[in-house]
Amino acid sequence: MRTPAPVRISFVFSCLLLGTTAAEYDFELGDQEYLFREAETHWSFQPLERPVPPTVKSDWPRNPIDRFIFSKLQESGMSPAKEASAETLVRLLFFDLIGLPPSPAEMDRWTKDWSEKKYRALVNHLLASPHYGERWGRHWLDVARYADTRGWLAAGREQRYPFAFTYRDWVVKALNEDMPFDEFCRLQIAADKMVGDDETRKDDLAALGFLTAGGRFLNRKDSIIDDRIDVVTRGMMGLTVTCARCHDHMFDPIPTADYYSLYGVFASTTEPKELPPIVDPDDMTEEQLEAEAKLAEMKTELTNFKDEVARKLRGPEKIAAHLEFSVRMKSLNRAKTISEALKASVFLKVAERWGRYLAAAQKSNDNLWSAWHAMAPHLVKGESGKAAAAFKKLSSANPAPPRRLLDLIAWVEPANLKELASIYADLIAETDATKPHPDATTEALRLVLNDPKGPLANITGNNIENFWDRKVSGSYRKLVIKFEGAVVDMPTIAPRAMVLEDMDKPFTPVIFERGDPSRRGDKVPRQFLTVLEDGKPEPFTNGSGRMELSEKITDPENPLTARVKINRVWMHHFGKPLVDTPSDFGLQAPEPVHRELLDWLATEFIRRDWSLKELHRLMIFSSTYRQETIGAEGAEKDPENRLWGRMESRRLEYEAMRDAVLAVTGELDRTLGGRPEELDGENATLRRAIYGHINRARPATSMLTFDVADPSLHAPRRAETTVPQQALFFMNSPFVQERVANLNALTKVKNPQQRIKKIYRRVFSRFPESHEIDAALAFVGDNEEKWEDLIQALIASNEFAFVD
Amino acid sequence: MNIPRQVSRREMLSRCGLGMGALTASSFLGLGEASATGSPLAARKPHYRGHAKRVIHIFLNGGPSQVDTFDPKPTLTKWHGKEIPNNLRTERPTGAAMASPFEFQNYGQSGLPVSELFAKTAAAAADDLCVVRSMHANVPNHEPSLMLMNCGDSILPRPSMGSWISYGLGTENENLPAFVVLCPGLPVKGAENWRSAFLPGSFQATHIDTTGKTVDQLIANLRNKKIGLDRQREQMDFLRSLNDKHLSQRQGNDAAEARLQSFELAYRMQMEATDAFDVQREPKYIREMYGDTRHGNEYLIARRLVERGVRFVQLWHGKGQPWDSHVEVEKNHRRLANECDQPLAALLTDLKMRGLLEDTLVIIGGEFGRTPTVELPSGGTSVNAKNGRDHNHHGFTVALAGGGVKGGHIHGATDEFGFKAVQDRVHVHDLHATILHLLGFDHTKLTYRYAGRDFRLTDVEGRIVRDIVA
Repeated sequence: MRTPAPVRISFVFSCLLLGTTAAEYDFELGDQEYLFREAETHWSFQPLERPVPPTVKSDWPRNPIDRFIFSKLQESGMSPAKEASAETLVRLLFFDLIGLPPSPAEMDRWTKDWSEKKYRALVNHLLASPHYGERWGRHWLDVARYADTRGWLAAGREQRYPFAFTYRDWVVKALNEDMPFDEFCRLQIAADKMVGDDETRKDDLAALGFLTAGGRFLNRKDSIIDDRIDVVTRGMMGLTVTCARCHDHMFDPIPTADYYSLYGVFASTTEPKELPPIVDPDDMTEEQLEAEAKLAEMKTELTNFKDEVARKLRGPEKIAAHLEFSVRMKSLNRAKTISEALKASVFLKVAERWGRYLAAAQKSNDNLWSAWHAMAPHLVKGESGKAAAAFKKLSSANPAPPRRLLDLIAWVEPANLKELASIYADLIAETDATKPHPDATTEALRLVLNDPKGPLANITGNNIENFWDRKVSGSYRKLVIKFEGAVVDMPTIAPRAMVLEDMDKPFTPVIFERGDPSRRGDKVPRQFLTVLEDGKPEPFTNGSGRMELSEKITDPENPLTARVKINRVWMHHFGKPLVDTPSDFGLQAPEPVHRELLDWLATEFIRRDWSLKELHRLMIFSSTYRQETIGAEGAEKDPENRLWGRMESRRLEYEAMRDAVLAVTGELDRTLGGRPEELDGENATLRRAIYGHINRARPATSMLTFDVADPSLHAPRRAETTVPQQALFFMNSPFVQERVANLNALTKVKNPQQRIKKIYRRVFSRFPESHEIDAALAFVGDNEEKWEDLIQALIASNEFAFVD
Repeated sequence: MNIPRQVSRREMLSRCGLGMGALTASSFLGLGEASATGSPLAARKPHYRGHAKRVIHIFLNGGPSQVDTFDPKPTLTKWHGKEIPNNLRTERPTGAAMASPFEFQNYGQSGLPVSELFAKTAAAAADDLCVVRSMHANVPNHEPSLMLMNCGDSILPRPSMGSWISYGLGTENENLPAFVVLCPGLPVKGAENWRSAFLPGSFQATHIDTTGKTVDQLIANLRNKKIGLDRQREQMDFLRSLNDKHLSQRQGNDAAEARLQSFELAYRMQMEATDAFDVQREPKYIREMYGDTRHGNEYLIARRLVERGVRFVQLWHGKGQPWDSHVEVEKNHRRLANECDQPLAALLTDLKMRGLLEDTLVIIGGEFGRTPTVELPSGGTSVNAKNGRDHNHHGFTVALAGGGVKGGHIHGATDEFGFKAVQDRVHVHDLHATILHLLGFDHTKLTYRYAGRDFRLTDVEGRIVRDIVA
């Protein structure tokens, strides 16, 4: 046995690991050799084997899940809870599978002649509903840290992603189509590689939003890549790989080299400036075509701006300004040069080019510029007399300056540098032409701008951004912001996929020591995690390696992916996970009580081609799922419900709660997909909450109040808090008040008993008991206004908020 | 102390046909005397008579530098620009010693040395301050250190100090939350800093986003614009009857019970919060004393809250981690201190004026301190700059005032450079133990049974620092 080493935690320790069981460690933190040895026996890294479900003597189990559950209950001297009522189960299934309450008619239809057959039929019915994808898509969007904005950016920049919603809609659609989960994962990492030129699969490109719709961290490349590594590794495999960014992982067999291997994969990709529409131009609607035309027009505006700036450089004013400045700058220090250039509206890089050009002309004794060189040094000092004297000598110089130039200078008698520069500038601008001119002087002047060695050679609208100053770039940025905003605000524009593509030359990563890009360590190949490759990873060879990475993650031999997914699905169906840390299956995650069940489900999941709908059926058809929330032995024996001798009572999350309020008042707009809408305020949408606009830097207040996970980071699991602000939302928010008023109008009948029945049916999907009718009547009295108070109280009640 | 499990108690009740309302808080928690209201937040007495009854925690998040505030180091100035012998490891590499750019001066009768950054605070209350210079924590990183300082554990999800104290003492005003967090936006780790973890949800802090300016903006939906309070009271009573019935058919549904309670709290909050958060109700001279700034308003709200019986107010300097001066420590610390020095001075003065300081414990500090050495340039924030300080958990300062601590007192010391706590070292667990002691709790006995064992804020650690108790 290994001797416990002293804890050494006085160095970089930047990863907070939740779910550890001991605050003290009997190994040296970060000792990779030790951690790799531990991994050899750690449960989650073991190959998936198919445990045999225990044989139990009971007719309670309906499927193998129940045999695992029953067996453990029995060992502890416990027995499962009773089966819940038809009404309870129907309501549970509706919320669990589609996130909406059953309507009174649906409740009647499904509870009538309740049977095993009916139960299964309902499950199948709900799994076939397009609302299934919305419900379960939202769960995945938590994993994908989905938001509609880039996060905090410098003032003025457009924060909104115009097309993040195409990723959200893709997730919903993929789930509705029961896309195999392995393919679902692969597309989100490498859709571009998988789709290729296949026009029919174009919409799958939107899957890449998983990587690209994350935060932009003030456009810091390393942070963006870190976020992508995190969402892939924690999100799909429950491994906290990004802990190894600055040092070897403290608690898991993940050396820094592995982090940079994955870093290389994402650093070898780029985002194209133009996002591809996922609709074929042939299939575009008239509105979309119109929007495309408008978009093209706006793009032309941007191009025109740049062309215009480049064109102006060839005009007399700019030539004069740059000529003048190229002399003035010689006596300025760097800081002054920059500020003076800005003041003179001169592009520094262009002035430098003029300077170099003039110096070369002087060296070659170019007679076009001899007057310039004779006079400029004097004029810049304000000594026009000396300049005039120098000019006089020029007529006898050899070679003599062109006559036209001499005459012009003699006539103008430039009093300062500006005037001299203007003389040259006018002549140069006048003669600017693409074709050679027979007159020697004209031709010499023409060549200033048209010689491949000239100061403005190759400066065009396409590259003017590399030359211009921050004043002009500021104006351009304003236009871009306007353009970006218009793209977001043009709802008819064809949806586009937020794609990635491989760079022409993949990037070979080096380790950044302590996470610091300026401290470059060893080169590492782009490859998969060592611990999942039996210690012998093979370098990726296909471009960036994203395709290979996605295949490694979804390899049936990967011990983590299926287990992690099973745990997440279990968490949503059963109210809490089997493994308490859904996004950390590393060495710190203790083996779960129901490891065998987890493993059996994982193998079954793979066996059934990673079908999520099959997995749902498996879990939901079990007797375990159908239990009441009140256990047979009470909660005494197993307060944590680790053995699943009862179901967990669950509070509706934000989305389900909001959707349910709209559903019972009959106002829910069930349109699928599309651009995000506001959740709060006067324009609060009547669509499902999944279509709410999520601002990464500042999520809607109602979302925060109701525990929606912070979309800055991948969220393993939502918190569940109870705060008075949630109550205030039900008591006072205009949103709830409006819903209540509408439901009141909808249920208003003469007979008060009937009215109460209608209301109860709507809100709770059940009839009121007679004492409930009495209580409600007593509460309302003869005050018509209090009907709204009554409805509001029912919507605010725990019966509405909890599913159990 | 053995606290009966909630579940069995509730089962007992359901057998007796009683609802939750019939229970007193004392039997609920096994603490103190019976209360009339039966709420888990009802005021309770601690184990013994404490000095402090309430806490204001001024959280200078990001980590203020001790050698630039409360821990002057002349030796550091002598070594300025030179490598020091004991350069300890912190988050990022650091280099030579960097003298404090700030002047220190002695204040009050005690002659407590404080830098110009907190000149106003020192001038107003040096003789009330108890400066613990020998604090130390576990790691030089924000997230675990925030968790340690707030929740007593760097890694595991544990209840926050404010939750523990609300659990122990309840609130003196049930119309307001027992535990209020004031922060414009969210700090690093967000609501995890004030979570109740396994304690009942009612002990979690209510976060007030102070970005909003009017009372209505501070707490969304604070007013019902349709019906009056009387009619709403009737509605709440009706809702209560619905929820009681719902709960009586269920067993051990803590979440449902917490939700039920939250409506009562919300109802009362409408009135009381409107008043408590409205600083415009203060006379002009008081508002001016605090400075009519966002920070000034927050400090003033903190006073208005404790005055109204809120048990624990945690006031964060800002969202994110404002005090994290990896670069330009001089400029940044000056700006930050400038934001809070006057409000802090005003708060201490104001509390004294009202006789509240003696039983209000004010805690001023961050999750750790900063290095006396200069942070070396690296990627990210500190490109080419050599004027900042890195995180430092080896030694840092927390200042206390009121609530039964010795005033004008210095406890412990860091080494000659101010890097590491060397004399009378105080770990975060020790600070927690001492805070609980000041509030009248034996920190080893303020426990909560969860998952088979009794948990406490200080886990298996914690030692009362007797020297700072008056």
